[in-house]
Amino acid sequence: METTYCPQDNKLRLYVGRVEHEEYLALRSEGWTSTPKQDCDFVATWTPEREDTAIKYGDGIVGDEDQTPQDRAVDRAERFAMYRDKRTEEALEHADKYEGTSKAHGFQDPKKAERAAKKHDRLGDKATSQWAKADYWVSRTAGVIKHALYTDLPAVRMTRIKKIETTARRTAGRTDERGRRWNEHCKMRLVYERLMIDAQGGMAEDLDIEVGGMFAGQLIHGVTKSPATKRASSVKLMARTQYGANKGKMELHSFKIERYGKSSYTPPTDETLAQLAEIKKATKEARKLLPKKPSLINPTLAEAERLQSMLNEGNKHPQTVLQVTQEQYAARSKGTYSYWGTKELCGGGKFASTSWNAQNTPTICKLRTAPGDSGSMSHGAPTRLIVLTDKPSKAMPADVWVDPAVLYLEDCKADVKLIELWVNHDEPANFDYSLINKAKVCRLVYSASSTQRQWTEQGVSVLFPLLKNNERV
Amino acid sequence: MSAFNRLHELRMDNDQHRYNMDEHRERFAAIAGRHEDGTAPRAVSAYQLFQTPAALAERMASMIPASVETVMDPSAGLGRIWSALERRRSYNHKTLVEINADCASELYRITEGTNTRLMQRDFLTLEPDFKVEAIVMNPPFHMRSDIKHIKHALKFLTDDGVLVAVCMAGSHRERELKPLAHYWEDLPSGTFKSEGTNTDTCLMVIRPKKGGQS
Repeated sequence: METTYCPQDNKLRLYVGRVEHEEYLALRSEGWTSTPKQDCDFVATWTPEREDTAIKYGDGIVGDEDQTPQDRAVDRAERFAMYRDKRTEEALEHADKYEGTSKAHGFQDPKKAERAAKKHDRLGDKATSQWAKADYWVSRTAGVIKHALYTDLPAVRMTRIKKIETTARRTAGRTDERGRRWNEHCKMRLVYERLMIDAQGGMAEDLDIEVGGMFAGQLIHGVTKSPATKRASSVKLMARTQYGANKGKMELHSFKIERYGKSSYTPPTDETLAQLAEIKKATKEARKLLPKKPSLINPTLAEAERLQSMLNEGNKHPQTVLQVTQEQYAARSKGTYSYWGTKELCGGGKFASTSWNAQNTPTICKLRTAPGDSGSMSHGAPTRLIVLTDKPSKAMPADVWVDPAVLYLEDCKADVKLIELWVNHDEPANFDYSLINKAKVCRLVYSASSTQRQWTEQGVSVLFPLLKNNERV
Repeated sequence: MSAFNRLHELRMDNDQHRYNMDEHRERFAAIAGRHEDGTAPRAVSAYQLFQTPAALAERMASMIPASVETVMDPSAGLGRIWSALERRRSYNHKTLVEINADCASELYRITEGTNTRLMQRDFLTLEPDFKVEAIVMNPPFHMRSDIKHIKHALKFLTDDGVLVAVCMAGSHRERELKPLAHYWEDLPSGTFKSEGTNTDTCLMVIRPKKGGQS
């Protein structure tokens, strides 16, 4: 009796012929699969227990497997192709018979006629059944070939190496016999797979990838190294962000390099380094031109209470200012799903809406907030302001108390004709759309999409009296 | 050959096979949908429906002279004789008469688009107001109706026309029809066994102009 191990597919094989039923059940329960159509009789992925079984059957020796998985796939594909050809031939034969005679079966005896028609119909069933089987074997054959070629790809081998490395790391610290054997096995597999990958051109990961080099024809802006292996695991490259069907702007994206070969990397040259320096300089300058981000303010208690009373106005669940320490706030505002956090405050004591189509006025500062409490349900309660008691407080900018919508309304009233042209899709070529944004902030007009423009009820009541003869165009 | 090359070869072979199968896909889709579109094999039963065996129908069709252009089958059944005539050559005009509605509907289905006139009625009630050059017929045998049918059919023949018919074997037929026949043959017993009857039959050719056997 012969037993073998194949490092390519990590399988143990037993060439033991037929075994007793009890022995068969024992092998099945250990994870061995019976493969009567192949040359070997039982096959299983390597584990220490199965290796012991193989050693037992092989009288202490587990030999090398002569047949590679690709050879095995060839056998399998040829066998499936034979089934496919046979089923196709049968299907065509039945179809020819079915179509070869008249569909009407006439006899004086109705039963005889019925029998003849059914017999003919059965030919149709046979033809379609064999045709479906032929189709099935075509896809099975294609699958076997595709899988065999896929597992041999260098990129797939690289991913396999990553998995083996993970198992090796996990078992490295184990002191029990089983863990030690797993670890040793993984190390041996890694040696084999690395030899194979070197023969196929090597992995990009093994290279010392540097910023400023080129990866797959793109300039490398950054390199991330794995803390476990200390090797480069991903690179940052400029790529166009894709938002669904729309192409977005060019941004830095992280690309995993585990499936790339050595040939995809080119070390940095003076030229590429100069190019990178230029890009970094341009980015830095562009950042300077960006508007300054609003600062986070810990307001004075008096100002916070004034703002809170503005937020409470007309609400059934008035809230009070929450006074907490920095430590308490930090504990509650941690994590992605925390309720406490910061909100952007706009003019007129209004918080900026995060809705996708919100029309906010410019942000003035940021404040710490908590959701308002209205008893069992917090829906509808105004936002609750937070003041840190153990941190210095600061007065908010005066713009906070001025509602820009009041100023915008005057602008809208002055240019009501232009707004009307916009609603009717008749705006001139050099139209200033900031006016429409102002009108939207004042809730005078509304557009659900670029083609749907309409007056709001407020717009009708405020602006219509100003239009000439009170007529809508 | 390496396993890698052999796998590529097998893939090409499989793709080619799939491509070849694509040519037959519509055909199998039609077979699979036969019950939905009403093209599945159907049972038709009618009184005295014993179709002409295919080989005999072919032989009868071959007995018509090549110069004939108009033919008639006065008991068309499900069109076995018509099919044999169709396979042989195209005639200028074909007339089919069938009494049974189910059979006539089948005939309508298979003769649609061909140069064929189809009449659903009792042939014996049909007035001989048109003439044909050849008649090929397998009339009903019950109660000597084959004698009546063949004699009525003769009224539709042109002067130099030819009638090829199958009739039941027996003294009555021999007495009534054999004198008219130019050619008479006792068919082997069991000729109609595949059609559900063991009746002995005869094949005859009548050419009115040439007269019968003496």
